[in-house]
Amino acid sequence: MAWSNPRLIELSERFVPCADEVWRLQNGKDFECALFRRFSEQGHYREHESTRQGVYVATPNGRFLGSVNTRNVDKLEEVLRGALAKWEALSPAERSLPEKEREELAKLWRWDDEYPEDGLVLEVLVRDLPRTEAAQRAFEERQRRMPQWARWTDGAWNRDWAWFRKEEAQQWLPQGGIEVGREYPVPAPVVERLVRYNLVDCVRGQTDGYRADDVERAELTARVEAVDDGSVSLSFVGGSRCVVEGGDWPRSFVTEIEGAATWDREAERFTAFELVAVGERSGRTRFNGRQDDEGAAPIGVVLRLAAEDAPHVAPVAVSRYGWQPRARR
Amino acid sequence: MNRFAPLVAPLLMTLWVAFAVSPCGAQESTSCAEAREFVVPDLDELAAETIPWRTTFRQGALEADALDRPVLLWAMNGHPLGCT
Repeated sequence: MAWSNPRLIELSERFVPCADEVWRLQNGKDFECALFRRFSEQGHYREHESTRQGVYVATPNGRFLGSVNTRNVDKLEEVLRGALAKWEALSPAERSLPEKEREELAKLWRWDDEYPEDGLVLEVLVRDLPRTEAAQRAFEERQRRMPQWARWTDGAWNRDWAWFRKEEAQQWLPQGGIEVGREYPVPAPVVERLVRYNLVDCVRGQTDGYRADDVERAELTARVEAVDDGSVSLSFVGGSRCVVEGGDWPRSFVTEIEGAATWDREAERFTAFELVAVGERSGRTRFNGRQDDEGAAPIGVVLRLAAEDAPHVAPVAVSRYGWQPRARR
Repeated sequence: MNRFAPLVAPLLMTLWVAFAVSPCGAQESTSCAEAREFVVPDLDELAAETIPWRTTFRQGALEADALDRPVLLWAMNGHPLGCT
């Protein structure tokens, strides 16, 4: 990973580094997207219509300073240093956003603005699990036939996020009395959302969530393990089964789930939360990179409480949560 | 110096490791624990996040404007700090 290189880390301090999803920026109608296109249309893919992925350097008002799409550290450093030289040659007036555009950018609403500060935020990590010896040999044989650049899929992992507003986070708790040993089902809407959108095969790339009709099992039983004045400790056990038969992209995702959580009664928030789903996937979708690996194979998903300093990136499926925006200005 | 200190420190470290790892469940299964170990990325795999990436281009552009610095934008199909 190029960005772990110390030279690039040090050089990045001379910029304001930001990361974002490119499709919306490339195709969206709002001012943020228009500002992106001011410089991306002069960048490395200006001749191509399909994508604008890559690394860009620009002035705040959208003047192009440099771009490249590579993981090569030397190439990246060359582009960043070249961009800095161009920046130095510009006057402050040539760099800065006009007042009206700054206001327009500041007032934009995005799903990221709906980050549930007082709710529950989970980091969702997904990776293939070790296969049987024979299956692993077959997988490695396929890898050997691939060009070197395409072999990144061995060891691939991905990450998404799951957000719960405060009232949704509270649904993980027992309703009514809290007694040690009490068992109860976690409400179906909460579990189904996790199963449809987070127990999916995105190891190698983005994939679609499952439709409600694809869900054959979405269950979590919670148990109160301990209670004191300050906290409630819970454990979870359950499973999921989503199946798409026929169509362009038949696939399945079947797991058993275990987990635990601690609720701080005074702060009214979870201070620990983890679910681990272990199971088997099969099939593929259009963009998830499984074209050479559609057979059933083991997969694991860890959903854990996001760290305090974790990036506030909206979940891929946030627009399907059924949330009414609250932060829209 | 406390003569037990060399013994206590490793014991505390062991206990810290045991309890710092959140339990999978009340009676966690082996496969659950092994899966967690396997799935969670190590520090090398998260090293790109040493750089304090702002999570939207909007945020980056506004802050760059305020600080009079160029914007460095890493843009991918799927958010680079989320699901790519």
